[in-house]
Amino acid sequence: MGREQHLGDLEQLVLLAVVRLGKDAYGASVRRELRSRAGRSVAVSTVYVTLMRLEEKGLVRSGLGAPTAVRGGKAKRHFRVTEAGVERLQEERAVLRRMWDGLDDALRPADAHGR
Amino acid sequence: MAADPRPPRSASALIRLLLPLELEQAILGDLSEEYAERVKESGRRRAAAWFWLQAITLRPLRLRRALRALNGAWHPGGRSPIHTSLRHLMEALVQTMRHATRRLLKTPGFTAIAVLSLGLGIGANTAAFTLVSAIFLGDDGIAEPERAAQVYRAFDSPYWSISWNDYRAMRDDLGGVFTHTTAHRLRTMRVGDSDEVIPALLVSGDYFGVMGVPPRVGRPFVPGEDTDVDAGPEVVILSHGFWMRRFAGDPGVVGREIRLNARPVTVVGILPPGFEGAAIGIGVDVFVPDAGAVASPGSDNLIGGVRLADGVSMEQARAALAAVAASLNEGRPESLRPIAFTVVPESEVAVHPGIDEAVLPMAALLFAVVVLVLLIACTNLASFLLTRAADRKKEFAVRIAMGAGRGRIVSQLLTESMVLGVLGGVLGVGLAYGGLTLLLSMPLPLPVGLRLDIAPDLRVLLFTLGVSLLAGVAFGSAPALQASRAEVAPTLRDEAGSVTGGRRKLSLRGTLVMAQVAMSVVLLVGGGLFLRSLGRAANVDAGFNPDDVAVVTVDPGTTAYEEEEGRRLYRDLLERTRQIPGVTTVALGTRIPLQVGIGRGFGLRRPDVEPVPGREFLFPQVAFVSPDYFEALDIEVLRGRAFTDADDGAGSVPLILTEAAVAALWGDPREDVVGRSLVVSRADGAGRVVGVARSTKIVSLGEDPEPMLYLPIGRFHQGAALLIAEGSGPPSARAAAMRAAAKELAPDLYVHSAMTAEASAGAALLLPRLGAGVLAGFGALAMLMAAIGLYGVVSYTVAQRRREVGIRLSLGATAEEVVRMMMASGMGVVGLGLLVGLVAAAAAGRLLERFLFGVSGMDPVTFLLVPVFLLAVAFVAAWIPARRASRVQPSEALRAE
Repeated sequence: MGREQHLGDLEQLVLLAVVRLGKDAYGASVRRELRSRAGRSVAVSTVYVTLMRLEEKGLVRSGLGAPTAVRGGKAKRHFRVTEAGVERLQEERAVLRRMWDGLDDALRPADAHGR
Repeated sequence: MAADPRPPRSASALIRLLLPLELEQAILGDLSEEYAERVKESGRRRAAAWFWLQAITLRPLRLRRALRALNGAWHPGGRSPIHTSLRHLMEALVQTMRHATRRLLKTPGFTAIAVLSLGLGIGANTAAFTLVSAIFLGDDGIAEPERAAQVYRAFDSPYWSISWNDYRAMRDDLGGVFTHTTAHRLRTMRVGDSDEVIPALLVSGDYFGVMGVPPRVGRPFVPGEDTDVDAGPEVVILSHGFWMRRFAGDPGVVGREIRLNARPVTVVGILPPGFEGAAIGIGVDVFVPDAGAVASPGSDNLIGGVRLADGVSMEQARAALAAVAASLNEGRPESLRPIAFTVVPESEVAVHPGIDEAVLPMAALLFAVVVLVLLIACTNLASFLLTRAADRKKEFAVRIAMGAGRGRIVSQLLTESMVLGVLGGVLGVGLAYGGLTLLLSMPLPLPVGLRLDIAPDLRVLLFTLGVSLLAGVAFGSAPALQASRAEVAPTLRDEAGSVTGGRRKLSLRGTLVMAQVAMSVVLLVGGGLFLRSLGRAANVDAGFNPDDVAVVTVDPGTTAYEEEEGRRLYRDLLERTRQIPGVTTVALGTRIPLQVGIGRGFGLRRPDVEPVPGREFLFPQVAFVSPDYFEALDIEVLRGRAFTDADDGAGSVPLILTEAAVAALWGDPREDVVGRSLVVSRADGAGRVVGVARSTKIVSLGEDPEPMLYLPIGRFHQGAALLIAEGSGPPSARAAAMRAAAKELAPDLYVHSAMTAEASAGAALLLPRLGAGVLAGFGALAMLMAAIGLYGVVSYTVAQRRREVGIRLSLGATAEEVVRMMMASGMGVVGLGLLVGLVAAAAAGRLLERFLFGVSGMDPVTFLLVPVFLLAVAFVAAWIPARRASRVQPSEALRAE
């Protein structure tokens, strides 16, 4: 895996949020998801910069929706995960699994002192 | 569905301007959506604040970069109401700012010095402007201040206090000229059971009518409350600020009882915000009717106040009061000076007319200093920018040759100076408020702390921003224009390498250095004069010895002690304090030397001379003291004796005079007057001199010896006194022990301001210290800047004349000759600057003379030392870069082309 292909922490979280939100993934909902689920409050600019970077890498695609009355007549830009995006997430999860494998005992909280 | 709330329009416009078109729909829509949610959750105001924060923290450049990487994959949907050219302009501006910031960050040293010097200049100016505007342009909240006036009696000064009798005549003799009349005096009062004292105004008559400020809640005082001592419960009106601080704005406090000076008083009203008495800086917390004034109608301790009726001019008011004075003078003994009133419109008074007159020249001095500092900062910035422009000449020539527009280069340089100017401005505002807070927290020789509004006020902010932008643009444009005018060809040929190059630029930079040197001479001479003045003042024989003396103020009067209890308490206090380890002498006194305070209630007259009309009695300063007072403070009793406990009894009043008082009464300070009688204006009139003490400085070190009278405190009981203890060991620890002992003896006794006599006397040195500190500090700074500028000039010369130096060296010149030649150009400029500076400093010294003590404005020591010192600094600053010239390798220098 090339260096520039590696997913950053925030990129990974944003990508997961896009997958989870499905048809309803756009800037504000992704931000909400990051806040409620990951407890991370991320600035608007940062979310969009991350989304654009993901799109540049081909992991999401986006399109402008129809203008709605709710948001001051502004259209939403919707995001969907691509095949490549799904694959990348699976790879990332596999990497994490391998790294976690067999560490459950070592990371049990009270053990360190008991020995 | 109900229409969603619209986010703040101006913030939306800002976001639109900052965002590229492709992101506008998505991001502005998202933010509007969240705004609507937040309005529901936490209200419109917090939501708007959040929205603004989003606008300000938007990262347009990062967004643009990411967008560019997408290669146009995102299309803007719909049409934006913001015109494209405006958006481009904004983008260009953001771009230029970023470029400027990046360029500035490449030379962090240069940027730091430029921002720092600008910040100091702007900070000093903001501080001075804020302070002066807080005092002289501040709003004291009086309605139509030009229709109200303060009334004083013209006596030793035009602003002597009036008596209650004067006030009554003003009030009763005039129909139709004034709508309201009042008299008032400022005191401090102890609130509740704490040791906190607050400024209190004791008022007679219709004070709030004169000020045009009726209470917002409750009622004003009613007639009779100020004169009828037995009229029932005492009342108080609170200032808005005090009500908020002390009672958290609880409206239920009206009608409730609070304790002032340990007496219950009923709150009857609360004033509107913005009015805390007519004197700016004092901040009166409570207003109470002055029932005590009528009890001693003859004593001069009030300030009068009137409000003119409609159609009455200030001149008519003066004439009317002159008539009142004439009627008061009728039947007044001819030997007494006739009464005359001074009338000052409220609109012309900031603190007190006498204080205003003293403060104005100091404010002018402060302004002169800070303007000089800003000038130095600006010349400094200009010479830095010139250097930079010269260094980058080649870069610009290349860019112009490659087709860059001159406008673009000029605008880039301008933006750089603007960025510097704004950064300097921000730093300056911060420095100013830090400095002012520090200044206001300094201990002042005043009974209550200064209360000035130094919060950022729009005027000050605009003023500083204007100054900083102006400085940036003015000094940025000169080098920018010069740079863009650069001819392409000769610069590319490396003009700097030619033998004759660069003379004109050097002379411009030389002029700047010369100006800097001149200005630092002026500031340093000023600082030096104040330092010398401080030295003189510290060596003045004040006539007493404050070393090893601790002082605490005890105030049984504020705890409603009756006189007998008070006397007993004083006796117990003396006894108890004597038992504190290390204490050798204990005394009581109403004042110690070098303290602000007035007490002139006792007139003295020789029975054997015919009184001079208008000057019947001599009114010396008065101190009430216990027997050991003179020993505790090492005030020498020259003839006769100090007081004894026997002096407390009845009979003629025992008097101790100072030599100055003896001189004032008998014409000769050495006259042996012990045992002689004097007529005293109070206490049955009979007095007898028992001793003569050395004169001490009374209020300030600069004063000539003033007549002073000591009276036994045991005979004339005083509601408050200083407990004075001399002894061994640190006085501050002793002061704390004394305070604790007093509290132990009488837990409800009000004990405050425990301090050493030295600290108290040190307050008298405040002005010379402040002057020396400010001027010498800024002077040193100016000198540093001039030194840096000089360093720059000489290194520039060295770089410019490298080729010439190479030739000279190869023709056999020695290294020393080369160094001397390089330094000569720099030192010539310094010499010229010194000359100009000394002439200006001589003029400034004349103006400074009124602030100096014991030093002439042309003090030869200062005028000799400052140039020598400056020359030494300049020599080093020029020598360091000049030395570099001697290390030039001839072969390299000649090959450089």
